[in-house]
Amino acid sequence: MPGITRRQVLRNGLTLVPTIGLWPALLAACGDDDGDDDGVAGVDKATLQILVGFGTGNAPSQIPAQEELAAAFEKASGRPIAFRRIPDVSGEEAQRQLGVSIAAGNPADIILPTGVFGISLYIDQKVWLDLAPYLRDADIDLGLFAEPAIAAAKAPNYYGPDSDVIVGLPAGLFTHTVAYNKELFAAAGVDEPPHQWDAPGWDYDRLLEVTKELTLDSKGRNAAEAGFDPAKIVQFGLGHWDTGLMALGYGAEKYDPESRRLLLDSNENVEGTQFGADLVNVHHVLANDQLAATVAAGAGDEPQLAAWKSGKLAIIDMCGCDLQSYGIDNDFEWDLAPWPKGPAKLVSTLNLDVGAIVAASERRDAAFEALEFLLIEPANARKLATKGYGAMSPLRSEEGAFLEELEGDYPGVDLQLFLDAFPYSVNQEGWFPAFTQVNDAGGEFLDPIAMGDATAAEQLPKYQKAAQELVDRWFEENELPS
Amino acid sequence: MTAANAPVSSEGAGIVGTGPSRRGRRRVPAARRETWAAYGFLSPWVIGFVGLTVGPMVASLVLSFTDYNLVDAGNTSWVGLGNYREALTEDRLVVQSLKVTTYYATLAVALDLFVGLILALLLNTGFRVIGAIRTIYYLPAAVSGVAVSLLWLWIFQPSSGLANALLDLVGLPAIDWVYSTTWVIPAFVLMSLWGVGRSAFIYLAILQRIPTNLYEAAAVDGAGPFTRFRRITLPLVTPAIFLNLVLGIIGNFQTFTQAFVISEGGPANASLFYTLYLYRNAFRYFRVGYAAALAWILFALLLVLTLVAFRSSRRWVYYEAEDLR
Repeated sequence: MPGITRRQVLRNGLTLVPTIGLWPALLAACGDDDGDDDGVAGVDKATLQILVGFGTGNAPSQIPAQEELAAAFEKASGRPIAFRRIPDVSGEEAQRQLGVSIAAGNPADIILPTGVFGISLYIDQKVWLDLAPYLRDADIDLGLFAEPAIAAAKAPNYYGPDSDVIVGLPAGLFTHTVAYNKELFAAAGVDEPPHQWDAPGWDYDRLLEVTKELTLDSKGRNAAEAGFDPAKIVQFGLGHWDTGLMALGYGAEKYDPESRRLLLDSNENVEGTQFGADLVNVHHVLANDQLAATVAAGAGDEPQLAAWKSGKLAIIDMCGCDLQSYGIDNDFEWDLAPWPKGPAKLVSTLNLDVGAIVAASERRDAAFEALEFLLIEPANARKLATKGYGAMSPLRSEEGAFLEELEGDYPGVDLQLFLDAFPYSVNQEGWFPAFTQVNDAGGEFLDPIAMGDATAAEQLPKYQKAAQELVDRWFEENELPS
Repeated sequence: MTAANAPVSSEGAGIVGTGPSRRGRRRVPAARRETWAAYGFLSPWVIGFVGLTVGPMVASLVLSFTDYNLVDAGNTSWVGLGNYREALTEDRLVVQSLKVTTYYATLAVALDLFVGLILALLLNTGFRVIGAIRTIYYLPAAVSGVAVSLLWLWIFQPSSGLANALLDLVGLPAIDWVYSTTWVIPAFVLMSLWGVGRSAFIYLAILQRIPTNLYEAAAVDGAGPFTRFRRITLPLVTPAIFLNLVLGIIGNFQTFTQAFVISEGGPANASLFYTLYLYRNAFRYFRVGYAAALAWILFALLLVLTLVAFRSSRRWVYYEAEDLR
């Protein structure tokens, strides 16, 4: 068989070119010639797009309130709202889609809701629109909102403590308390915790004593007794608990904007982090996810929830955002209590959800109009917070709404403690340089502490060194806004 | 009909109807029509290859010399070899991810080559339900990687998983599997056996072409089963071993789904695969320029490994056809 000649290659190649050229023409002829289309099926340029996927907001029970408010906005303004829903609790897929859609010139106009963590991921990449000029033009006073909400919605480490730049309007607040199983306390003969924040005697030491008495092995011995077998625990005193937060009670801070240094290896952080890890590995009173799975058969993806619901955890952290899961359909009596006080201070955590406008949006004015309708108008803000996200409304005028909406669902539970938590609640998700990279780097150094393979004193200086390099590099490549 | 008046095409003799018509209208020769048809059918692939493979590759090469940020593209600037310098000299997570990936790929490729061959030998024995068994072994190759990962996550659950239940049956202590810095990679290697059907079928294709008379002659000469395997089977399947080796190296160095779904690179970066770190840079930190440089470094690494494999194959891969020349 003769080989292919150069002439044949040239001739055939030249023939192929116009053939290929036919395909784009064919595809173009079959395409939609509607100039209004902006790349999302069925959505025209007049429609505002809200991305829901940076946390809460996609549960079936939450969607009707959002849809009703969107319909009300369309009725009032003539502008429809379309939701881009990405039901991924971790938010990672929503982050990826946000980045890609910005690069493609087709981002959602509004991200609602997103936690402060989601905001912090992109502050230094100028993803968010500064809402301060819009608020001034609309004569909206931020005093409408609870003070902790506004403090958390700003980014003082980036814009400076005196800046009026604000990139998210508060949409929902969640404070934290502890929840406890009253029946396990009664069975162990242990006094229940107090129902008042900053009550004397309710501190980390007392928490350890109580949880030791409430942690039982298969022979019924508690963790304070001789002969207790930590390999055969059938009930834990503590669970669903972020040990990293224990350091807050020791007075630990993450970052000092003045010196531009992280404070990961401070004495406070070392002691607090070690205390948290010891609750698991030394005192054996705290169930991490693996341990929780051992006391809750068939736990599946949520061993902590399964362990709590099967009555195997005596005390848990209860975020307002967890009420719909940890607070319902329990076959035992339970109640709320304040967080215990740490050696340095009493501090609980505050989660804030905000609505933010993407700076690359082509419909910024309309997007702000929608945020104003949804988050400033009291009745709408209340409905969105309580029904849309299961949160407390951050509007001062609506503080009581949380109790009014939920009291009937949780008879006998001291929900007032969520509202009383404000003075002690601090958001821990604020921006610092190289925010995402520093957080991602943590696993390498913090996991061995959590697993009991290394001490905080050994690991945190290493974390500090690696993370500070990331911060220093950030300052080499970037500047803070003046 | 004589040779003088038979229709003759312009491309070759004796093809009826391809010459000029009696009315004088010029007709396109059949061979040329076939050529056009071939190009018509080929062009979608060519468009896809140029537009979706070559184009993005060139674009990523260009981007790798810039600090292109996915959400701040307007401030992109040329950084020359800066991204490559950072990756190769400053970024300790590149080193960590290469260590993790190399460790995993070494174990996974070795296990795949060995178990795949054993499986193929069993499948080649010719018992009755062999067709059904072959289908069963190949089914995993058609299942979504995410679904497989979630299944194995359940199997490796320390408290209620199947893996520890089996260990318990034989009196061995439970293992933390994907929650342990020591065991997370071995767990992923075991998981990789899920796809061993692919390499087994490549072996099987070769095994079924080995003439039985070779074995019969060896048996007559007194060769036992092990000798026949070592002297006949093994040399003749070396082309399949080589193919599986190259495919294994390339595929396992790009492992992503398991780590993304199951361990997210943890614990303590013990499963931070190279492509997972690349993904983080591109879609979490939005440093697409840097991620593109990481991709080209991986490409270069795989190219070198593949070339080494090809170079070494001259010494140990036996091609029967070469002996026939």
